[in-house]
Amino acid sequence: MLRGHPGSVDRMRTRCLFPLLLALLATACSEPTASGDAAATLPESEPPATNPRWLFEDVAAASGLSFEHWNDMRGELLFVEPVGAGGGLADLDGDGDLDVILLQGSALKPPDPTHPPVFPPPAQPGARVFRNDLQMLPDGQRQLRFVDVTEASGLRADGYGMGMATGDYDNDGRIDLYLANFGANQLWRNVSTDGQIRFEQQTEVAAVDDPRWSTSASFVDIDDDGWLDLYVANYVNFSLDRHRACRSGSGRPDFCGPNAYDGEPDSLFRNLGNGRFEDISRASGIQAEPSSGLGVVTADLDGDRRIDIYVANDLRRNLLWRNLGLRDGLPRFEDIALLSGTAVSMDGRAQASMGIVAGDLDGDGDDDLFMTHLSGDHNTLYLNDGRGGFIDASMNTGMAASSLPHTGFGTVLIDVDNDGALDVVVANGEVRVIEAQVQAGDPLPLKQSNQLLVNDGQGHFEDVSHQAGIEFQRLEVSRAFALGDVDNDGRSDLLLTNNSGPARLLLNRSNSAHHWIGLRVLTPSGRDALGLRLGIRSANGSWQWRRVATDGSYLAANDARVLVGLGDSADAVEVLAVRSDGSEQRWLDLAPDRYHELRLER
Amino acid sequence: MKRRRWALSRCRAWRGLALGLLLCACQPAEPPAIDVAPPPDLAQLDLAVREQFRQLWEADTRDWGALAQWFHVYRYPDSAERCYREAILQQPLEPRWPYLLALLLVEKSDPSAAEYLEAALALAPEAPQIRLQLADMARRQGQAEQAAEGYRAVLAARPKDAAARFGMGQLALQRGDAPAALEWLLPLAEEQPNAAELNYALGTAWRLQGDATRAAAALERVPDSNLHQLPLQRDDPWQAAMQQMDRGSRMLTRRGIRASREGDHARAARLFGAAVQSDPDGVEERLNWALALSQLGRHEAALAQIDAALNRSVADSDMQLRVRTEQARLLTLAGQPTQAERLLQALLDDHPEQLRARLELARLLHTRGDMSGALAQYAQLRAAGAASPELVFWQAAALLALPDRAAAAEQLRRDLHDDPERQRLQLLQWRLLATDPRADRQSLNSARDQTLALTPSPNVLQVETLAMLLAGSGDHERAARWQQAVVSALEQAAPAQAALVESLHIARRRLTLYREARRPLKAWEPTERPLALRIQVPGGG
Repeated sequence: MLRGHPGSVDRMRTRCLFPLLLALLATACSEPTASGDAAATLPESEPPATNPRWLFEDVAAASGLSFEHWNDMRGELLFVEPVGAGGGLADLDGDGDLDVILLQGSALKPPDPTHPPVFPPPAQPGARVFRNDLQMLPDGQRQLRFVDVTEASGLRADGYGMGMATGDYDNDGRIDLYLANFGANQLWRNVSTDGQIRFEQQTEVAAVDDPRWSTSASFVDIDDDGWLDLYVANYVNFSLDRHRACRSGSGRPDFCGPNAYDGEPDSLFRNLGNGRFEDISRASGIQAEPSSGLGVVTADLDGDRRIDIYVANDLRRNLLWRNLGLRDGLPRFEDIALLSGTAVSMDGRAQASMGIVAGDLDGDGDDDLFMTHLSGDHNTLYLNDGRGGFIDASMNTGMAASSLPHTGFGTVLIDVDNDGALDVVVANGEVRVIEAQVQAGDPLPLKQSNQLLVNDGQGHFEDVSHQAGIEFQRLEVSRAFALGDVDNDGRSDLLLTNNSGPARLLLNRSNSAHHWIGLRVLTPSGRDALGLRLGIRSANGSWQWRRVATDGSYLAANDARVLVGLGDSADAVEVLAVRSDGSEQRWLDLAPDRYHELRLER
Repeated sequence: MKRRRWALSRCRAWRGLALGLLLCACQPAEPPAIDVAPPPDLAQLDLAVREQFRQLWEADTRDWGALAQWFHVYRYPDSAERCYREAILQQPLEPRWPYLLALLLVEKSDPSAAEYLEAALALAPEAPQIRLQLADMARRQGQAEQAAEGYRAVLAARPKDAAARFGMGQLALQRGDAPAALEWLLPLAEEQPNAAELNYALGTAWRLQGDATRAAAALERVPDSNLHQLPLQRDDPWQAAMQQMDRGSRMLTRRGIRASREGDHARAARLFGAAVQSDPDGVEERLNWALALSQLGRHEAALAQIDAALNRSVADSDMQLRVRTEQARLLTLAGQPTQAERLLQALLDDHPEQLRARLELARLLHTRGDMSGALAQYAQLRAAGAASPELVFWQAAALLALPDRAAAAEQLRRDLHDDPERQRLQLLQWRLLATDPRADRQSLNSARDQTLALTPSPNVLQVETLAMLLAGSGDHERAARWQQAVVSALEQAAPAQAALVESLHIARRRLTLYREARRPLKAWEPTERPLALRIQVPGGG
């Protein structure tokens, strides 16, 4: 290109030097903008932009959702302190709107005046249940109001809370709760009547306790018998008397990592259909792989119509439990994570996987996997080839670089603007102290901002957090994200939990004229058809594939309803349900911009 | 072409000079005091780390680059960044500072990282690590073309550069081009067969190619734990020098573990010893040092470190119980099993829930031939919920060695029902069959055929089981031929591995039986070990 051209060298020098000079001059020599500078204020003729494309507003305090998480930290750096806690969204009273459940820490040690907790304990201890009294005002506005009904509900969950699962395990049409704790877990049967939320504890009767450190859990019908079974992810064998004084690379006291303790196998409980469960952890093969489970998601990942289980493990290989079906009458699983390409990162390292979500991110009809990791490492997107073989596409899709500065925990797939492409939100918060926050004297120097990554419809993601309002700029120690349309306006909202911080309810205020359809799909017995694959066909013939699910994210339970963005299409849609036996059921001419309740036939 | 290279080089020189001039020119006449302070937690750092900082901080002339690296390696990124910026001002022609600053900025996903790498490249156009970082960064950002260009530029100057070849392989994987990936990765794997990331990439490539067998073989070479992984050897002297600065006991421990993993126990012991120097009160550091010394046969020194660790540990803490368990293990290795047994019994009297200690006691009793004692411990472990593949195997092996054939049969039946995929248990069950005089020929033949089909490259455990089955069905000639293959392999390997001598004795005894046309009497010997040593299939086998 340059050969034989006498002027080319000089031109090249000029070309390479000036941009650099300009860039350096701009960055190195600039002075802070003076106060009163014209550039610091908008001209009066240009009002600030309203209704930006992506916007969330925290309405927790304004709507009565008042909750502050407490971890009982006292300076000993106990491993359990920064891990919790989660929460969930579920219509507990069957009135058509989502209620809120939030898990709480509890005292780890008896009171000691010489070592008081850094933050005061909550006035109302234990997990809390907030009833949603959503009202439609005459002017069409939706008014959210939450009432703490914990005491009246009978829920007494005073353990050291971690995560939760929701599902109607007794097929009575009411959503039950499983609470995973650092310590004994609890199963709460929903016995609500006449709009009054009520629970009764069934842990012992159902035989689903797990006294170890459990984190996330999932209700899933693994044997297709119509009854929801229960998978519980367990972390490591830490206990207060096993506490180890761990240190950072320089020798400074620090929180331990998961490798400081032995991993624990997860638990799998089979629903016997009579209110009791059978522990089949060992017989099913699950117990063979002790690890450090933090997140769990269930989906048919290899296209054989059986629901598989994927577990995100902290600094140990992730597990993909392939469902082999029944053998000798018992469900059996084998771990195929390594061969499927989902066990470790592209460079063969076990990553510190925390949050996990499954969904069709590239629009090819199968469920892909996205999971969150430590800062300095990248979050990982595994794209499914439809047969259970995955390829790490983090770097081709914009997922890798944007995640490097953050330690990600909860994550959900959300079509923020209902354009039909699934976007991603990630709740961030460090586990290793942040230098600047230590210098500033922050008692919990682990704070980071959360992220919103928008899908361009071609499977490429852009971090638009800085354009999504203050909620994606706050510095907090965020942990769980739960997804659901809390005000039933056809836009997916987010419940956010923070360690040693307030729970937030992020209402989706994004400016989008796109159409949508909401689906609640019930089994013949009247419970949410968890695990069911749904195809949604728009008028233009394009299909979107979704899964009825409440699991995924981190320590969280999501709304079981499926909310699908339709883009500009205002035409009626067709919905196809594919059952695990391959049979199909169709609903035609469903009107957009509203919710539909669909019931599967026997 | 030459003219172009000259132009590029002149261009980079200009850019370097420009950067230097700019960085200097932008300084105010009286530079403001840089906002860097000693870490607030300095008093809590390892002794050696504190001393390192003191020397840098109190030096007559402050070496900002060295100070930046100190902050960098010990994870004070904000201070490190400020120091690097100051170092750039002080030494504008030194390429290391913009380079290392860029590495910090990459972690923050700060787009200016690329500018600093470009600036470093302008100052040191021949340093391949800068181009590699730029290319890796482009790859992470999905800019495949730009990344490939960077790797190719490195390879043009250094065709054997491992990082660049690996990068090209990864790019091929990213676009799903398995044949191209294999073309880059296979030769590299011959040079660095143990690099974990390379083996994983190979596994992925074979998987994409649809070759599950090769994929599984490559993936088997990726260790379970990150701690035990050997990384791809990359040529980055600047980063290596910075890493060498790390005198923290954690890093020394990590390097010690790596050395141990590589089989370099002497180096491991040196590194663990240095970790103890860095943190003399560290219990874990002393325990690691003890284990490494024991590997070198320095039992007395190892046990002295165990004592030192016990003195520094909190009474009845998990760590102290772990050290006591390891003490018993080291005593066994030092030839004092009776004392070890007493120690473990005492520990378990106080802490019956200590599964690790109980497993160690079971192992010790098993090794000493006390099968009843070992079985009592195995039973307690199983009752406590422990069911690792190792435990399950050894429990069955102990029952067979006792021999309590009925109990062994029942235990194997139960465990195989729970997990039919456990091949080693299956082999034990077939051995039980082979040593049963009432076994019918059909069952024996079926077991024999399944054993034969297990693998094209069988190990000692598999081949001895096969020989037993052959002898059990009366085919003593073939049994002897297979058993001879085991004896030959062990004879070859035993001189270098003393632990194989007992296995060789057992193998020879079995060979004698088959030559005398007799069936084996015992399915498992008390001192027998399941060996993974590969056996050459005998002619006519």
